[in-house]
Amino acid sequence: MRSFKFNYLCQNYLITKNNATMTIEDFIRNIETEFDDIEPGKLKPESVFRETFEWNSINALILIAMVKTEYGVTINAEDIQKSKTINDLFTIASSRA
Amino acid sequence: MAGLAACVPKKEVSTLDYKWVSVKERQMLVKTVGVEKRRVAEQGTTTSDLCFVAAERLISDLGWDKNEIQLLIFVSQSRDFIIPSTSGILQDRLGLPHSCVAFDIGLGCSGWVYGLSAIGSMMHTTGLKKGLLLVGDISTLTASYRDKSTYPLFGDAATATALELDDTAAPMHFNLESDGSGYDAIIIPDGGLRNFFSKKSFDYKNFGKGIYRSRFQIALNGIEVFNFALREVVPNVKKLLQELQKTTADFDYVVFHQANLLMNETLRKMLKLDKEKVPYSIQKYGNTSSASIPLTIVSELREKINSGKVKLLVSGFGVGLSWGSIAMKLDNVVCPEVLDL
Repeated sequence: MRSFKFNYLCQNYLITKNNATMTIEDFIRNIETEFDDIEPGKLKPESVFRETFEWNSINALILIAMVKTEYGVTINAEDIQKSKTINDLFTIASSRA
Repeated sequence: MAGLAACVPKKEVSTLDYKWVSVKERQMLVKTVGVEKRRVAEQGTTTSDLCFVAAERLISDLGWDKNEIQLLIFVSQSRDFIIPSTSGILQDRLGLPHSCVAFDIGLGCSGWVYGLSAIGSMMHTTGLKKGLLLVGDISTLTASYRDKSTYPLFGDAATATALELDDTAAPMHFNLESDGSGYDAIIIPDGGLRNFFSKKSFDYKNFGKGIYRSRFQIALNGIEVFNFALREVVPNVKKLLQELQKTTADFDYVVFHQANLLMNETLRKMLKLDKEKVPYSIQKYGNTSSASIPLTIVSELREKINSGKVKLLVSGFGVGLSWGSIAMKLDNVVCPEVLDL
């Protein structure tokens, strides 16, 4: 209950299963770790991910795997389809934490 | 379990030679999906041909009298004919007696897990003393070359598992589950009675992003299957462990169905397993459907299982949707090296 309240108050923070807080900055850093061809610092919350790096279904799987491993949260094909920016994905993931 | 053998086709293909996609995409496939090489059957070679080679060698290595084999179960989704079952063909070809009980089970990625449960419990309840579980698939013939979501993934393989009723053997524990609401996540839509063959079954359709296939070829919804596995596999394994009051630390190895490297690595991390504990054969053989777990054991753990006791936790998951896990202890299992045909 406490963690839910905290999540509600700080929308840009994500409560992971381990109750550690995660920021959009960490979310971006995790994506950069998974995708070798992204220059560090290039990806911003407002970046349109389909334009920032070569987008394909395998990249979608890498993203799903990262979110599941790091945050214990599931995002599906529809979530990715309706998201444009990195922040859109982060918002969906944090709403399920 | 008295013996385990696996057989693959001789012809090997490399993902880096898959000319339908760019060189960069091929490298990406190797890195994420994990398949470097795989074995591909020639048209006309069937799963039962590979099973036959594995079974003949295993029976010979075990020194079994064929007349004593009372049960044969064939688990596959790539049978010799629509009618009849393949198990009878194998019973005859292997020279097993008419008294042998033979039937098919139609499952893929979870097939070896389900098959072991079926043959083990049947032998236990009926008292049949010797049984053969023949499990495998030829998936490459039904994958479209112009479908990068399936063609570079699958490899062909078949296996033979020999079981002998032994009251002193360690028990095998199973947790089997299914969810048919996801039946179309991995599907060949035409050719069964729901959508019988028609001329249209063979027309290629463009699904975008370099994916062309007919309705008589396998379709795989990657993201749906991926999320299914991440949702169901870990709770299934944990429930089995909980029932047994054990943890993964009680097992020497954890063998997953070789779905794809990214998926399996995610499952490995979710279960907090060390790399050394989770063997892979996907690099060498691809996703071999129902054969992938026993093939991985033969290919990666052969020397361990034929010279001592090995505690194994295995998990198969996929088409159906169907999934399950086994906790088992292998003790000096006769295991020839991977055979080829």
